[in-house]
Amino acid sequence: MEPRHHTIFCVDMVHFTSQASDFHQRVARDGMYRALRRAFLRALLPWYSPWRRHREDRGDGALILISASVPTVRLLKALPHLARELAVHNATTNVGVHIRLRAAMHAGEVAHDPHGVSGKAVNDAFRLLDAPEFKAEVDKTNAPLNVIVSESFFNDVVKQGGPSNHPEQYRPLPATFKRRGPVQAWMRTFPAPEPPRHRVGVPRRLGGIAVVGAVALPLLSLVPGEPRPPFCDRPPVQVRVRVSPEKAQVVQALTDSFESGYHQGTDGCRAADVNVVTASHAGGIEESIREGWLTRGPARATVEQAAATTLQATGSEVSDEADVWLPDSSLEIEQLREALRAQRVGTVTLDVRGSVAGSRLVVGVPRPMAEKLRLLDRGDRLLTWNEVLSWSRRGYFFGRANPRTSSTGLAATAALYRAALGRDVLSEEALDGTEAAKRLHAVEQAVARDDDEPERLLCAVRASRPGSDLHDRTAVLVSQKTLIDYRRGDSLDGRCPLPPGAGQPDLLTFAVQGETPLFDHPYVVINRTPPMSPERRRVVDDLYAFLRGPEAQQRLREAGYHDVHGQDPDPPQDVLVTPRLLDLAGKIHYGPLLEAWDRVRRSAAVLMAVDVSPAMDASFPGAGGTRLAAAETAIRRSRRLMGARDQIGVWTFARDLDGGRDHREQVPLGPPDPAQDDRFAKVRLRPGGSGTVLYGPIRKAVRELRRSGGAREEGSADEPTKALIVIADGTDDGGNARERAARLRAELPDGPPVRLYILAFHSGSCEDGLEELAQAGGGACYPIDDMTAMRKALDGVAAGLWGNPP
Amino acid sequence: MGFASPAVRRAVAAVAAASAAMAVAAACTSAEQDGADDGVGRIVFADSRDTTRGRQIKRLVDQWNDQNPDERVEMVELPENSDDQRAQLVAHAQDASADRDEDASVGPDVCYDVISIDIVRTAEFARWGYIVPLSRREFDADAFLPRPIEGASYNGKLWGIPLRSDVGLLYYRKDVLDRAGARVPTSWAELRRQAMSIAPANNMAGYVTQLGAYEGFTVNAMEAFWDTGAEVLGPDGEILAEPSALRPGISRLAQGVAEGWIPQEALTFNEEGARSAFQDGSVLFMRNWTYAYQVLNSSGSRVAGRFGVAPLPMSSSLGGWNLAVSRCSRHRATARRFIKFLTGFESQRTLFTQTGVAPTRKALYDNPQLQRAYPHLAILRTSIDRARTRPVTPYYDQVSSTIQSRLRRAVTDPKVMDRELAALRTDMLRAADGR
Repeated sequence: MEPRHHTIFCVDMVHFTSQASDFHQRVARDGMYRALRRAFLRALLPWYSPWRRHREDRGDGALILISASVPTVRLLKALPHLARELAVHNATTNVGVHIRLRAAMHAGEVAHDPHGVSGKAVNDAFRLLDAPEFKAEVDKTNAPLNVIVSESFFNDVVKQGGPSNHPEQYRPLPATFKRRGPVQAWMRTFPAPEPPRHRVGVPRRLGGIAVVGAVALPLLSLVPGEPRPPFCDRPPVQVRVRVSPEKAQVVQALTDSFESGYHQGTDGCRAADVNVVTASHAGGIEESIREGWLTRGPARATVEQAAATTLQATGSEVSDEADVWLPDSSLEIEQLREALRAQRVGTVTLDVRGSVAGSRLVVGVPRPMAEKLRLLDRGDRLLTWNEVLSWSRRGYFFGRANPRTSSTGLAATAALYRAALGRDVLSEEALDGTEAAKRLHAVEQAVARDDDEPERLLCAVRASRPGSDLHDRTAVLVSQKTLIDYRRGDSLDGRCPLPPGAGQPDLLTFAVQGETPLFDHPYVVINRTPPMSPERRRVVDDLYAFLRGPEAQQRLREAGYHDVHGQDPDPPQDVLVTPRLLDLAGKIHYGPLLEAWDRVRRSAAVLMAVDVSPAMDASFPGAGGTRLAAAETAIRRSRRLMGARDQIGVWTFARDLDGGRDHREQVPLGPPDPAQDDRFAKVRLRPGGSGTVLYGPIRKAVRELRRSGGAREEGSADEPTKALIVIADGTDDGGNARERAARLRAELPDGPPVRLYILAFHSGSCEDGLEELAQAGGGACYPIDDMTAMRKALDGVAAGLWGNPP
Repeated sequence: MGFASPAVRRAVAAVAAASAAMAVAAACTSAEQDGADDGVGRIVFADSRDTTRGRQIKRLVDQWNDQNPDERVEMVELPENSDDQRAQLVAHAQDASADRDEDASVGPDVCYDVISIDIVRTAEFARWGYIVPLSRREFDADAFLPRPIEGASYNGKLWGIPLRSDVGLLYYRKDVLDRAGARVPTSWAELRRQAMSIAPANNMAGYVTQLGAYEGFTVNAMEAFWDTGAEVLGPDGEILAEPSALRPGISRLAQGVAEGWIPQEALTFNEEGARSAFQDGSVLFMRNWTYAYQVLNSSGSRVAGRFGVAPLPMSSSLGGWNLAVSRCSRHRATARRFIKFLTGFESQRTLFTQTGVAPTRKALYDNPQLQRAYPHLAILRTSIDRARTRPVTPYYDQVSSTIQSRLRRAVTDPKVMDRELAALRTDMLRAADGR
């Protein structure tokens, strides 16, 4: 074959063989080739197409011949790219595989033969490469690339091409060839350029994109088949997402899918990194303000103020900021905004984009309960709230999550309270007052559990024993999605696996006709000062679009949600008729609601002590005609105020009532179960004793309450409110009444609190010291002169126990 | 400056600060950051949640603040979970960088001057320029244990100073082994034998470790790979994850689960989960980090005084946290000085004695008092010196996720092992390339 003119480029790695293993060598060679390839492609030099170049491997180096049809100046243009690629390699690898390259450039006639290539030009190129003077100069620098060119190459190519070839950067280097003596050569050193500065997203100067584009397009035409993308020169944009436990699993899967398919630009590099945190709201919305997911550290009004305060090691709450928040419902957003306003946080605003999924509040009823209540006789699965409330009066219970920590718990509580009070808006005024206190207390007494999250509630149901209240007689108010998960045997919050072969109570799905609270699963962007970068905002916008797109929406339906167009979950569920949906937004005053919930669910331990002295046999305007008859009525009415978790007991007292003692226990303090009801039914108040007495029995009753009447369940945080209701004449005909009264008054605050309510028949008793006494015990005294006064007194007691303090 | 009145001093300081700031700004808008290296002033220190008894880190910060009123440190606590913490640091670093380009003032809410980072993140943070290299000489790198210093190095440069080191240890029920006349296992095979015989005889589970869906799983997988002669990535990020090489390692974990001596619960465990199970007294062996030692020995622990600690019967991963200086920091001189303080001998002694986490300075291991008081100190040192580093790559996060998602499936369901190992290699090729 005829010799042809070629540009000759050969390289050798510096001092490589002194490095250790084969492994290191291989890795460094790979790095060298990668750098050469990238530099060549960048400079529009042929790499893949063998008919325009010839490549030979030389162990620690390589020989590349470029045909005359390719402009030689491109090789010069490749050199800075090569230097940069080598520098990047060195910057991102361990010392053991760092590369420094010697390169030589020459041009001349080259012959190809079956053994390879030959010719004087090739030999000269290698002599330049290996010249001892060149090696000595290279040893003096750390530069990744040093190039030596022949005199002819320097004159014909470098200088000829003008200033853009930077001939001034070359310095003369007399070289000695073996067997030939000195020749003139020229050398240039390419130092490591500045390490690439991290730039996120699209480079600011549009020229950056233009360059990449310009290289990519001609490459495609020059080199059919394999445009290799450049290395990734910027990190993925970090986005932080906070999600409710119910959606956590499906959202994590969706963001993984988003990340792996999301690339910007043509280089195929990952452009986004989404970190998902599950927000378990123990503590609720108020905690969120103190926690750092909205702002860092204590809430600050402005950045300037923050800078002005003396920075201390605050040891503040954990800073776990989020860019995107995915709560279950807009109720939480309302709540959070209310709290932000109350705490005057001005640096954070919430930007609500729209829904990504939908779910509703449903009622899960155990099959035996549904059968007993004949709920399956009707064709649809619709109930009314009044019906649901009536179950509590028939000995059934509710389960719902804690309204402070769970969106669905909040919705369930609001729905129950609205129905119980017959009110559309649960304002502070609606929740106030004795009537409200009594009704809401009755509702809460039927609530069996207050788990932080619905998943925990359903986990308890799953584990409950057959025959127990939770297993057979408790209806759960949860989101449709959670109930779907339960019925599918899902592990709920990941901590409640259903072992294979094991059973669980069968919960049937019902919806409430007319008013089913909905959960709209909004996508909320958290805007702070200073605002997020445009790059992050773009990813946040794209993530929202992705979640509303067909792939994500289908997966959300499979996870048990309605999609944003209202389509049912997939596969479809029992409740086929779409009930009228209720948007609770604007109907709840969160502060008052949660405060009411706290107080109406307090259980009470109430001891009723009834004076049965002869004075109580006096006539009294009311059914039965005597004071004692009125007292019996009072006992029964009080009994009805009590719920499943309260306790009630009855004493009677009079002077010398019971063989030297002044009091007798009629019904021991205990929960109003059937046995207790039985005892109550048997209570008959008959006058006895020799005269009135008051302070002694009160003292003993208080002691009894302090001794027993503690929390019913071990470890329960629900310490009941203790109260003593004294229904008495109001006099004490023993001596030293005043001193004994004073002593009792001093004693009362001395110990765990017991409220003292005195219903006094003898006129003037309250003013005459009993009011003072009762107040010392945190209670009140009520003069009873007719049944109206009696009713008011009992209302007062209820208000005292579960209502708003006056 | 003692002669001037406070007002004048403040004014002078303000002018000096302003000109320094202008000088810094001018220097920074052009190229890199010579001026910023000498900046002095208030800084923000971001650490993970201080769960130490008595909040020791915060106390040290308070001590610094008392002594350095003009260079106060504000401490920010980040989430305990390593991934969540990383997301916070990266987001802030990206925000700080974006602001910097526009020459705007980076507010104190954005730039964390000193950060504490998990050693596996060294490559990522160095590569993307979130942190600046530190001088070995200035920080006296030779005074620290060599492995943690390696873990803070990348590309021949030092990117952080090790604050806490950590290594996996074998916790074992000494009372049970003594009764059985057995010695502490020194190989995986021995561990397995004892877990299959001694544990059930004492009504205990054999071995618990962290196999949940998080970094802990990667740690355990890597330890199994190293012990069977395999490696996942080469020193430059080269993919070595051949299915045939990885199979023996992952199989031993799968086998343990299938044979029952690694209980199913372990597949959900993190460090606390495993520790809790061991502390209940129902497990014979546990792999866990150094922190567990003090907790298990505290009053109220059922296993206090009944357990021992030994090197893992296989290679251990090197864990630990390094303190680094963020590129966005304008007060780098203060930052560096603070790092020296927090990693100084006294601070490390306090942290070790109060929290039990392994120190990083050689001097503490050579201290005779500490050696007497803490006999397991020697085991810690040996274990750290022999510990292995997890794959070094700027894409560690992605690489680790790939290992977790593919290989956890293989451990729970050995039938899919071949498929998942093959998929791992494919995924890894993309992950390690940033794609």
